[in-house]
Amino acid sequence: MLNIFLAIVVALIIVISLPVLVMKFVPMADLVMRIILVFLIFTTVRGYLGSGIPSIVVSGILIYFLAIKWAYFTAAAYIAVYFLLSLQVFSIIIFGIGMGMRRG
Amino acid sequence: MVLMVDITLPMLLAVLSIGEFFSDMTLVLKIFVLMAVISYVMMHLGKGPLSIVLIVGFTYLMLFSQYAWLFEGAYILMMLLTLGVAGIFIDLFFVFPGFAAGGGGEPEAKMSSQGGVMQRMKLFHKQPGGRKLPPPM
Repeated sequence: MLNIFLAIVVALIIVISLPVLVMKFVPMADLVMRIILVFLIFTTVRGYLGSGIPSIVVSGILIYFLAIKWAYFTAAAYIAVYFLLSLQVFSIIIFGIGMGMRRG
Repeated sequence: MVLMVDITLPMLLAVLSIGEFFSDMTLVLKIFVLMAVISYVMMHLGKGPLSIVLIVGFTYLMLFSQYAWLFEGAYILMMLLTLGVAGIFIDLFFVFPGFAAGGGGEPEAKMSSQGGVMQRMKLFHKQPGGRKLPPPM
C-alpha cells in the first residue's frame, strides 16, 4: 500500500516537472511558454482591476516575477493547476498506477 | 579550507536562492490578495469614498497585520479548492484504498457506497425485528 502511494507521488512529481524539462531543452518551447504566461497574467490582472494604468503596473510587476525570474516554477504550476488539475488528469494517473501495481 | 569554501559557497547560494524564492512568492501572493480585495470591494460598492476606506482597512488587515498569514493561507486554500484539488485527496485517501485493500470483486461495488448499503439492508431485513422486503414489482 505504501509502495503504491509512493509510486503515485513520484509519478505526479514527474508529470509536474515535465514542462520544466521541455522548457530547459527546447528553447522555442521556453519562449512560447513565457509568452503564454505573460498573456495569462495580463488577462488575470485585467479581470481583477479592469483596463487602466494600475493593471499595466501590476501586470509588469507580476510578469517580472512570474514570467521572467521564476518562469520554470510558474510554468510547472500553470500546467499542473490549469490543465492537469482542472481536467482531472491526476485522477487518471492515480487510478492507473494504483490498479496496475495492484494487479501486477 | 579551500574544500570547505567550495562546499559552503554553493550551499549558501542555494539557501539564499530558496529564501529569495519564498520572499518573491510572498510578494506575489500579497499582490494577488490585494487585487482580490480591490475587485471584491469595487464590485459591491463601486468607486466611492467608502470603497476606498474599506480597501485601505482590508488591505491593512489582510496584508500588513499580524494575521496576514491567515488570510494569505485562506486565499491559497480557496484557490486550490476552486480548481478542484479536493478531488485528488478524495481519490488518494478515500476511493483508492478501497481498490487497493480488496483483492478481487467488482470495482463498482468498491468505488461507490451502493454495495455496502445493499448489504446492510439485507442484514437488517434478516434480523427478527426487521421489516420484510417488499415484493418485487
